[in-house]
Amino acid sequence: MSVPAAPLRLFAAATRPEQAAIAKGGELIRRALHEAGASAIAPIELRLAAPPEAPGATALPEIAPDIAPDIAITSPLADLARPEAAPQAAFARWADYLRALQDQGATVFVCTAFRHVPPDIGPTPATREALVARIRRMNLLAIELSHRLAINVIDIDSRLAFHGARWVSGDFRLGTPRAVLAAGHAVAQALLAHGLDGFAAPALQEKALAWLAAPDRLPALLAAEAPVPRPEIALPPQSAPAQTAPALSTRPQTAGPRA
Amino acid sequence: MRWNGINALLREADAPLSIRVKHETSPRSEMLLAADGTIPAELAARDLPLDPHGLRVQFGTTLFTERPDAYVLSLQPDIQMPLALRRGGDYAFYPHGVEAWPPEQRQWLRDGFTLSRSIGIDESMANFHAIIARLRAASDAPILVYNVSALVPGESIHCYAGMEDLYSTRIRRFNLALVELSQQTGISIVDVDRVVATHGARALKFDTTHLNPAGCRAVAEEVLRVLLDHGLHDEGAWPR
Repeated sequence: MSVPAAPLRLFAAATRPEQAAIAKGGELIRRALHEAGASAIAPIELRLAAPPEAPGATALPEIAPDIAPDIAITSPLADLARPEAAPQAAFARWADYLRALQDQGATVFVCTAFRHVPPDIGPTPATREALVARIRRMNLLAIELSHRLAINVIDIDSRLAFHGARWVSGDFRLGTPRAVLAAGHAVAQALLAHGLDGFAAPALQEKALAWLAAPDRLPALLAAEAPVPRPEIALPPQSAPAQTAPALSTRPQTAGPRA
Repeated sequence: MRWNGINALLREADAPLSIRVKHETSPRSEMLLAADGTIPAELAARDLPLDPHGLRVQFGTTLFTERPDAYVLSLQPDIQMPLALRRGGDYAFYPHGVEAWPPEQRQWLRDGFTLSRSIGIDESMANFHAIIARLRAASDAPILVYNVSALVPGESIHCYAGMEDLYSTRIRRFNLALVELSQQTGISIVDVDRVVATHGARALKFDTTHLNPAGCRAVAEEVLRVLLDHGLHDEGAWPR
């Protein structure tokens, strides 16, 4: 099979569990390409930026000038830590941010958030229902931004809802390895479906996508993972463990926030 | 009149009561509001194969004449049910199973009607406001409204540009509008979308619309929970 031309540069501005899912997605892309018969796979360079999660914070992370990513992945999930903005204001703020990412040459993906909120969240059922409604508005915002800006959506919500909160042992926080893996599967499938032509030959991509999209693929991948109940999610290691293909690298970026 | 699965849940809990459920297939909200029990004569004269959406149900007023302990409505007809509108605006009806009608009936429909594929969200919610007001004027019974699972099996879309009318997006918008309706009117939502997300569409759905038996049971559990929250029966008195 043909040798890839260049590494795949990903920039991820998302919460830490989402970053873990994006890193997992990178691993799955490499695994899928390997299963598709790739004899050599270029590295995936993942730059991480956490959005400010403190209440009242409004800045969104910029891409550092030296990165020039092929793909930028972001998510409004951290907005849950702040008072909710009016829909038009939220749309305008995110549209500005995503346009800025597009202007830097990146293909932009926005993640949705799993609509499941467990009963132990919030002091009352009404609090929980309000959070569910807010997540639904956020997910609709991602779709409307895609309508307007032609950005791509990584529908983590639909992937986890298809399999169910109980089965993936997770909720909107992606607080378990199973939830991270399921979300990572959505990431990998979305990126391959979009096309990574500078990174892998089209024929290989098609085979890799078919491998990932097989109906029993995610159940098989999950079955291979030990079900650990609700641990804290840590960032992926700075250098990935040895695999069948070259490692995925993750580096936090140091660029300042964007107002 | 028939019994449905919710009573299986009560029997499993040794609950000392049964729930009597009167089912009516529901047309879209504008038809619920417009119905006065009169079936248009030209429809009554035709033997249209509409079951289970018969003309008596489509033009009936049972929703407003019965006095149940609770009302249960659904967003689903407004999200997905097309209506045939009489040219000239006399009336509308749901031409259920039209693809299987005899050719002469289909031709009659094409000649005399236009198709209304969907209702707008604002119009739908205004209709629900009016329906709720009409029910509340006659009864204090709680009103429950089903939302719809936005999970469309097999849908794998990554860019929505040019896809403004996608069915899953329409469901998401209606579900959010229902939350606002609940905040404004105090109706209870039977959150089918949440139930499916909890258990998984893979385990509960046959297709975009239909739930399998496990899905029906999970939704019935949610309905029972909401009814008990409304205090329709003292669950604390049940043997355990």
